[in-house]
Amino acid sequence: MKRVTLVGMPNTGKSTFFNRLTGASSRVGNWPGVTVDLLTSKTILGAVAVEVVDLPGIYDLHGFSDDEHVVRSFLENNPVDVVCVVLNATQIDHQLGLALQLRRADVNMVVLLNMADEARQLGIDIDIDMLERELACPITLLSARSGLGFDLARQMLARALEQQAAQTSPLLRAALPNDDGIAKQAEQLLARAVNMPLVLERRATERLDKVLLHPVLGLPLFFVAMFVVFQAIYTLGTPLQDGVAWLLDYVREIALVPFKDVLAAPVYGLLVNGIFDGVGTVASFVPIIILFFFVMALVEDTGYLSRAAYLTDALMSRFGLDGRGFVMMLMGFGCNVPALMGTRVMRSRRLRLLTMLIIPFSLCSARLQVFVFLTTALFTPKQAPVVLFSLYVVSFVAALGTAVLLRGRLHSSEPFVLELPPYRLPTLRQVLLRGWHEVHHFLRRATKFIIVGVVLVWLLTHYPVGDPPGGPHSFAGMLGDFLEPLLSPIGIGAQMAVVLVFGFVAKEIVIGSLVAMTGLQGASLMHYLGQNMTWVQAFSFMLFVLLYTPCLSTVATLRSESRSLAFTSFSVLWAFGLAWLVSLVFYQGARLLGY
Amino acid sequence: MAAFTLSSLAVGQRAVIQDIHADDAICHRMRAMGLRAGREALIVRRSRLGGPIQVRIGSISLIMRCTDAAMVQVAPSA
Ligand SMILES: Nc1nc2c(ncn2[C@@H]2O[C@H](COP(=O)(O)OP(=O)(O)OP(=O)(O)O)[C@@H](O)[C@H]2O)c(=O)[nH]1
Ligand SMILES: [Mg+2]
Repeated sequence: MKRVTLVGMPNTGKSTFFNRLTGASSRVGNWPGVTVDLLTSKTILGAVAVEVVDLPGIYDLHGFSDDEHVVRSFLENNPVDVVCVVLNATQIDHQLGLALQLRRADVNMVVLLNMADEARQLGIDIDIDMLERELACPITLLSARSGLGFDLARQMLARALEQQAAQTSPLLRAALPNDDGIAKQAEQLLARAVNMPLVLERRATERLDKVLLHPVLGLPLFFVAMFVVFQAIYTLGTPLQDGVAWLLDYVREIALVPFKDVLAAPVYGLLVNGIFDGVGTVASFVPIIILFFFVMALVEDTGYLSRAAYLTDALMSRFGLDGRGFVMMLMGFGCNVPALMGTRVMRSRRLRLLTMLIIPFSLCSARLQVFVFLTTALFTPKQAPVVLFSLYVVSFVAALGTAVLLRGRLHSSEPFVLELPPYRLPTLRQVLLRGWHEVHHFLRRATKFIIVGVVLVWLLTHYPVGDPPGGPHSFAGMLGDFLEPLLSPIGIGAQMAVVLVFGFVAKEIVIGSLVAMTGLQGASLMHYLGQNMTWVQAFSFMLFVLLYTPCLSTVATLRSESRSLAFTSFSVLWAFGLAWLVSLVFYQGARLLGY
Repeated sequence: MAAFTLSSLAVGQRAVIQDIHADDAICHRMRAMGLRAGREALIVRRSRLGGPIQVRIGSISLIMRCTDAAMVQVAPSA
């Protein structure tokens, strides 16, 4: 099959174009370094089937960060029929050199000048014909986001594919050190073919930045915005959650309860009280998760993340990190796995490792479910959001505390230079696409882990003697007894031990296994928890769940990204130790204070 | 021509980039991101407490730490 690869600097719209071309859903965001791994998808161009490859952005062909390494090794090891160079037309003065570099490597290429909409607004005038002659390849203006010029770009690619050019490994030849010549050539070409106003007026961006990057108000504004967003998700999400729960209950009464007398008791118990209720309870969190990821997609697409990096860098530098690390923590609020991979943009290994050590403390959406459930069960509606917010604060403190303790060993001197893109209005299409993608991911993960987890927990709590479920004579009870010395100092009952063990696999299991274990769900499970746990115990439990290793996928990602078993083990043990200590201090402290 | 660094400029000041005093890899990286000799840089804003500065070079805006900006030698623009 023929192959087209997208090459260009970060944040030029490669993934946006890729999605439009192939219908795939590569992640898009107004942040340099959203794509850090290669993604392939197939499509038909002209009359041939082609494989299109979306690559991370590269600043030039000699880059050495881990995401750039992905590009290099791909181009070195895979034949490519057409290199589709995506340039940001509004930064053509800065990006033309990359196209020239590839030109010298004599590859079959097509150049797309993306963001034509912004270029027009800014009054940038590009003589396409002259550029085509000088670069000796087809070039077109494009707006990948709105689709303007897309058909033409498609046709160009199809035509370029027809040429029986020898397949090339462009990188090897481009690696020749002739940068100086290229810079000069680019300069000359720009002077002839591009008319750029002396001052690019991005009024909206400048006005917004005056406020949002204000030296005094910027940071407080950021935290206020976070709090508001979080409140909004919670206030909008919980009624929706109740709605889904009600719906599932309805289905249960109508379609499942009638089988109670037909099926053998253990079978009914496993199917309905175990699997249906367990999965159903997790499914009731889908609205909150959807809202959450809509907001994440919105924030990522506006360009605010780079601003967050600007605002927090001074603080983060005191912890041996930089502003990008903070942004990765924010991304980790969605899911820790892509956040860990996002650290590939860092070139210093030590900085990368330190950042990877703190990301698992980010309160991800899977943990959010556990906390929403428990806070609703044990606190008043007024207290619940505050308790929840305090967990976010603990998440930050644990991360930064970890960095303080370990920055000495992982000291780095990586320069912090980051592009500040203009603000962009997120498109509905993009936000919906992204939201849908995340929900799909969540549901797949949830069902995969939950069904297995719930069945196992149900078996462990009901056998060999399941009266009461999870009691001292069940397997779960024995496990609890065994772990008792570890858990009782932090106020966690033996019954919960099995939940924590499964929570190590994925936090989505935690609530599901509570359901399977007790045979209760929804309001009755909340009531049960309220009866069997004090708020101090519940908070200690939540602290533990927040801090100990998020899930197996995180561990696997830590392992593959760090390529070090020792580092991965350290991270897991550290998180576990910290979780236990923090819970211990909280629980014993609260007891001393008489709670 | 008095030599000074990018980090020493005040908001609104312009200067032409001359050279970057850092090891090869870092130099290369900074050049690739737009800090090329001969280009004019404008300081857009500075943050407090040793935070980053925002620099505009042609069509791009960069944020960079003061300590890193101190590696960039500049000369007054004509
Ligand atoms: N105005 C405008 N914005 C665009 C256009 N194409 C993409 N964008 C926006 O530019 C930003 C970057 O788009 P991506 O597709 O993620 O860029 P990328 O090249 O894949 O970036 P990396 O993966 O980080 O290298 C997003 O906010 C897009 O919505 C366009 O034609 N016009
Ligand atoms: Mg991308």
